[in-house]
Amino acid sequence: MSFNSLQYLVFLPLTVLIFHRLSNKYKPYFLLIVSYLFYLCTHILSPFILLFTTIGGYFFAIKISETISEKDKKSLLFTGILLNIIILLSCREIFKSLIPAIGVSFFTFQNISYLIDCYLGIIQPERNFLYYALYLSFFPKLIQGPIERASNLIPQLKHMKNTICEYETLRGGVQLFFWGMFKKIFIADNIAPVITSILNDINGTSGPVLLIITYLYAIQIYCDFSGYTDMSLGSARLFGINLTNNFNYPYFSPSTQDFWRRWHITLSGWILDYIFKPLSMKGRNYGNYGVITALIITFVICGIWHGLTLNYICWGLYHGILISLSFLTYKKWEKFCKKYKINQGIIYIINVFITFNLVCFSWLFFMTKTLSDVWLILSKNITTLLNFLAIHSFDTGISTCFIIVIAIFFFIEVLQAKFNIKAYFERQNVFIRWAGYYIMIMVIILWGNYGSKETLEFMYFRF
Amino acid sequence: MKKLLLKSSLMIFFITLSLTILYFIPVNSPNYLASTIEKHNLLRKTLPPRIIFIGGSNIAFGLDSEMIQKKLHYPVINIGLYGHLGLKFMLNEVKPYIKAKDILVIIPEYEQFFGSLCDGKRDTLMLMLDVNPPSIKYFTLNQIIRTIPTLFNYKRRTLVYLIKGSVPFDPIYCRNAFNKNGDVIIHLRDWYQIDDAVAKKLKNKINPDKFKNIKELKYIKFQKQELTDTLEKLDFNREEIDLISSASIIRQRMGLPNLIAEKLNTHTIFLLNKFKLYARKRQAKVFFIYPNYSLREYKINKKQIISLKKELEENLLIEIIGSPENYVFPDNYFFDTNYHLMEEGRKIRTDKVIEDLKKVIN
Repeated sequence: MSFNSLQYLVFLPLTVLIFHRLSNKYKPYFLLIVSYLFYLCTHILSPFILLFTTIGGYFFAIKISETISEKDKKSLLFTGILLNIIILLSCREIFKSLIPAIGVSFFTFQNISYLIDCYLGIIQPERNFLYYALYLSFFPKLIQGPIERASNLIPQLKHMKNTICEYETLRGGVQLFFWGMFKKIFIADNIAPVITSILNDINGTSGPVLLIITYLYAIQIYCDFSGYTDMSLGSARLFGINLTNNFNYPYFSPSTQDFWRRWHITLSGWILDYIFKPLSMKGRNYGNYGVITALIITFVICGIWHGLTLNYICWGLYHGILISLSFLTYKKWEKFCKKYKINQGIIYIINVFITFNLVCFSWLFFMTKTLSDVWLILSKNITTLLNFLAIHSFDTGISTCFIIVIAIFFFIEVLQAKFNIKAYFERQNVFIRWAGYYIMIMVIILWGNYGSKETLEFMYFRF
Repeated sequence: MKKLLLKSSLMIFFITLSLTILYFIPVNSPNYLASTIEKHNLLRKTLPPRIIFIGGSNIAFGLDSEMIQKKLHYPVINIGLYGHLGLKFMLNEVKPYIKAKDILVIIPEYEQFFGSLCDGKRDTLMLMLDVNPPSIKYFTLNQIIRTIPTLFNYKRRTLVYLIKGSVPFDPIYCRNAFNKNGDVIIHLRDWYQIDDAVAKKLKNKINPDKFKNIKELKYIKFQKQELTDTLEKLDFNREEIDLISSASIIRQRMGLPNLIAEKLNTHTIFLLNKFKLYARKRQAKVFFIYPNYSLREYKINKKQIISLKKELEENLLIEIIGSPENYVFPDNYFFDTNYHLMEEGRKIRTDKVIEDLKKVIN
């Protein structure tokens, strides 16, 4: 059941209504049951994999905390992590046709982080199986994240009993949900068919069109994934739960390092804490070389998390190299700017422009299936840029009107990032606010691209 | 919670109200399926007894109703549009108009008896709703449920029509492709289209710089005079116009052969039998004729057609006139699909239909 399906639009309000009518005692049980039912809709075997992972994580964590010997603790942790990796690889790579467990990489990563946190003593293992099971299976974040830390989610689940159903919280949830839906159904899904048709004939597509498609894909993947996240956060808020935001206007980042602080925040936080930090600790005696090696390994692993293909590995490697270069040159660049007294605003714009372009080109590895396709698009893009004046046609099939709407959308994002336009909107009178909601819903219904199997799927489902 | 429920209900009410109003705004769509409006007007206005042809595009493109009218002395209405609407819809849309002494001739495409085509394709049904919202009354409950998720995907065009007045459309598959009886006649003319192949052919004959100017005409289909006028406006001389015209004439070709791979669906026969009983109550006669078909397709689907023929002979309550073989035509009689006849084939097919109908009408 996808967030943008008709079923979910029935399922969510019904679940929320029942949840708030229930006595506090039964709320967690109810949420656990509906979460498993929700997951059952993806595949009949999926809930069993989730249950197996949950049982494993629950017992390993308790065992780790009860074990005194450091050596035994380590071996328990190692076994627990290995078990999760086996589940992940089995579902994602080895038996993916038999067990298409959607979202498995998200809940196994949560399980791993939980085991490590228990091992390090950052958190105490959860003794109540109900809350641990709900931590892994809570349906708004089950399929595509955010990858929540136990220290953030479990306390909230425990206090859920005392959730007061405040109007402002619920309204915020509904608003966020529809804003996410707007991003996904209206922007991302209207771009999707254009990109799909062009990717089917890369050879026959002109350079200028491929160049535009490269940027459009960046917009599509952002609106698709951040749209999902907003719908996820909005859904969770209806139950009084605040999930971690995964996006913080990533395309306005002035460096690739900063981009990774703003894009898929929970994943980058995860790889920073559980992969980069231990690796860089090991390589601390080697200075910059140690840091760079740790960065590159970390991002290659991040690429592999998306899929065991050359494209994803190269994507990870590309980002590893970019961040390393950024790490090595950022201070020098700042010094240079200070020395020549370049205006801060201009520096920021130049940095954002460079970072945005570098990131857009990295999406070529996501967009295509083979490295030869990446190279083909890249070479055509470069040729187009070199012969910019000779460009004849930019015709991608996307209307000018839609391009303007995308521009307006990003303008709103800028305003929101700089001035919190949402709060300003909330202060307006009821007619203006309602007109805003009305227009947004009508645009989704009338101009959204929905209904087909192709558009129902979120891009990050495959991970 | 109550406050949110109340406000949400109010918003849902406004949205539903707006969509309902929008949905029933009459739209003058140029779409091919919008010709259903004219066809229904014909059904409403023509007095019985009439001959009504029911089927998909095989009858839209392959019948000369005027000739049938002349020879059989009955007013003829060709309701045929597109096979993807499904036989269920085609029969339902005729039902309210059936009058005593009407002669109903059903000529469905073979695919209506295989798989689930008789239920209609969702996208086509959606489009029908978009161009003619009242047609929802001919939908079954199942069809309504199937089309709901994308109900307004097509509706956005309504707004485009309202704002712009018209939108570019295919000159062959369009609302004004029909004559007053409901037959498509526009495909009987010659059509011209300038594309990359034309440009390649004329590479050394016409100045490439001059030829660049007509790039934006690439996907437009022209009739002879329109093409000449357009090229004249672009400063092409007589000789160049002739060269471009002769290189750009479209010879429509059938696509790849279509193998009927799905299982025979006996539900279609049940539907036809039900329709027969309904028509009988209204004192109308119903006949069944096999569709015209290309030889190429007939050869690869012969087994399925024979099994269908056997099934129909055993179970169909409607009188069957003629045989499938009688309506098989050489491939060069066809326009762009194995059901769309060109002028010569259309004439022969119509003669055959007249001969077959003569046997049962009089």
